[in-house]
Amino acid sequence: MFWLKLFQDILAIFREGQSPRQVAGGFMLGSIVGFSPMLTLQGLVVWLIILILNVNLGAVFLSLTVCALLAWLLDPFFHWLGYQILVNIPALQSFWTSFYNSLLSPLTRFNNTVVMGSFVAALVLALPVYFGMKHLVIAYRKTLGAKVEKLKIYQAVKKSGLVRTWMKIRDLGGR
Amino acid sequence: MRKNFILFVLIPLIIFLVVAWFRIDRWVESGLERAGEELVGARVEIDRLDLTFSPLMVRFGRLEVASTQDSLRNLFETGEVHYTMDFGQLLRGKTIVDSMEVDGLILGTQRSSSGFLPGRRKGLLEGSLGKDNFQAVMDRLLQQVKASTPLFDPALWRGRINVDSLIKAQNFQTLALVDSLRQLTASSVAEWDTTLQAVKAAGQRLQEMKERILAIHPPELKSVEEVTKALATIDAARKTYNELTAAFNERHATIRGKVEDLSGAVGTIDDAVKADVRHVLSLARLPDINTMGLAELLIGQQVLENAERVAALVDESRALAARWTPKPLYVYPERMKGQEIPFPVVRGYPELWIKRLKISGGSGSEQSRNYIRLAGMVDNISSDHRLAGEPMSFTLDGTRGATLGFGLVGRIDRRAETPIDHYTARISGIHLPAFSLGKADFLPAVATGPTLAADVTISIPGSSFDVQGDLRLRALALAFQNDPRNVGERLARDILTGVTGFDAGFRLRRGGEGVNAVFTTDLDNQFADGVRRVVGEELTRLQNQLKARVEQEVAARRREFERYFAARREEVQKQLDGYKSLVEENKRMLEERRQELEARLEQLKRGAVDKVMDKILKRE
Repeated sequence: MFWLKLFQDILAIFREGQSPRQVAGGFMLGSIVGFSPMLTLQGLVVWLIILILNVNLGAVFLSLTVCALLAWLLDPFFHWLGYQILVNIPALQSFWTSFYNSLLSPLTRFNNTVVMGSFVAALVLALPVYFGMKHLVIAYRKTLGAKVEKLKIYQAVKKSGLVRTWMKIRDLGGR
Repeated sequence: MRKNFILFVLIPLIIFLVVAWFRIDRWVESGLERAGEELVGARVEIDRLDLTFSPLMVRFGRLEVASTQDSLRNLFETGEVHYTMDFGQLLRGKTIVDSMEVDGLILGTQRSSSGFLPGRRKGLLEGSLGKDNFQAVMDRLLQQVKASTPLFDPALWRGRINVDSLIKAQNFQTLALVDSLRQLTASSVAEWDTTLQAVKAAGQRLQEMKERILAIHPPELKSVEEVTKALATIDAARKTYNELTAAFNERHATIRGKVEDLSGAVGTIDDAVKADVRHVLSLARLPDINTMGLAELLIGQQVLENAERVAALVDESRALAARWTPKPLYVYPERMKGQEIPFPVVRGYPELWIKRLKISGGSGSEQSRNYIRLAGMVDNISSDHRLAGEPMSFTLDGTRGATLGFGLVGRIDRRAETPIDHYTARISGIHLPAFSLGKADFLPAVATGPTLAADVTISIPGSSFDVQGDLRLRALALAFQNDPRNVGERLARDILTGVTGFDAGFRLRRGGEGVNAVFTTDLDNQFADGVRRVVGEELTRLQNQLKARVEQEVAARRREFERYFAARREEVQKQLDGYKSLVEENKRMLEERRQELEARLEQLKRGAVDKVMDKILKRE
């Protein structure tokens, strides 16, 4: 059920509602939060931005869920990346040291290898995600949506009794 | 901008923060109370907590920490407490208190409500000490010392001084000697009888000889031949007399030698009696009183209790220190946990560091005079002495009422590989309540009105320790609860009557070579003087008593023997004297008759010559 709902929500996000920029922004911010393994100050700031800016919350939660799963898979890479940034770049050592001794640094947990690695990876991926998702939404709404709806798998899923029952139950709430 | 967010999230959040701002004092107060209860295991109550953020400071009007032992008593309570914290370090999870001031610290105050927690759950400090903690070791040690110290044991006294059980006649050497002397006398008397029979026969011959001599009447002898014949008879008798006299003298010497031997042996009865007295005294094992034991018996419990109080304090300190040991860091990162990369810090801080804690006992005259007020300074309470760079040290002074005072100076150093603790405690002017001395079955007494002063020094390097203590007890008056029930109690009472105070010391040391314990007290010297006086008199009295009993036991048998021996000796002596007088008489008579015979012979010879001369003259 989860996967069916996820599939339908993705299509709904692509198909209708807010602008492609809001959807893409939601994906981007959701990916930053989703990659982070623990609650940090920068995570709270991102959440505040999400709540203040009018980005697509569905895209945020979808992105957060997908990126959290990816983060678990990519944990060794994040650990390696964070270690390299924190330890093996001499030019940054003095900065890290002064930041480590600053007041707010404990709240950022920047000296944790996974926090640093995932945050840098999220920042690096932020723009590609944003622009990628924006183009994808636009393309879906113009041409790709019609093609997807013609796919046999889409038809099969849509006509299946199970999905219809699920959609009725879902729509009881007055969606 | 998202209007819904502002309406449904931001505004409620601001309202929540405002509420939190006003309620945070109460929340922090509750949190601190819960943490304290978790730590202590009894009710912890904080009143009027006030939290400020710039600078970060906590202030509360009153702190009460209940005792885990007495539900209606506080372990301590304070007046106002305030401390400032390093906010930056607090964000790092480190509690760094620059200064903390505690006013009106009072120990042991009364509570109006129960201080026990529901279910009496144990705090982290309770029961956290292993079986090898300082107090347990010290307790075991003191028990060993007590067990190995020769005590002024009432059971020994009672057993040793039971005269009747000691006087067992069959064990007396004197009686055995008397019996052997009696047998020796009997056999000697048998020999004497044989000798006396021979003497008697010789006496018969002397009597016959006497009769033959008496039958000679020199004036009636008419001729020289008759006189010469009588002289020959006298000479024969003389020869016989000499033979009998020699035999008598020999036998008399033998008998006299025997009598003298027996008399000498009888003289040894006195020595035997003395030996028996000595033996009985040795069986009595009259006490070589170990005054140390007596002192330990009387004050050991007090010393023990004081030492254990100090030991408990040390253990609590160690338990606290143990809780502040830093937790080991994770070396290998778990999935989604990462690895913390440390960077050089301007200043490393331990998890907890109270740099200075000032305590004032206050002057609140409203409090009971029975409460203990503490004042002083505690420096560098920290979870990691190496990071703090300073050992924990404290200087505390306490008072109760106008007379009692005490001080505690300590230093707990965990910077080196081997932890080192050093404590010095001083107390004076303790008006002790009346306390029991002795034991229920020995010299039960109550000491009234004493004042105690004490100094205790404890050094605990690693697993070793060295504890030294001096106790000074003054104005001591002893009230004995019963009349003395045995000589031991009577002695101890006599000794203690003059004791009004004493000094005592102890030293317990555990090092590489094991555990050593020494108790000293000048009470021992006082006792020694008393013991020399009282026990000397007592020993003399007991010795005399035992001697009299021994002599009484042997006297009858001795008198009987002496009567028997004297009678036999008298009888023999009488017979010998009779024979001797007979011999003397015969000798005298022999000499007289011989002189008479020689005179008669001379006379007869002259008469014959005259007669011849007359004949010659008549013929001319």
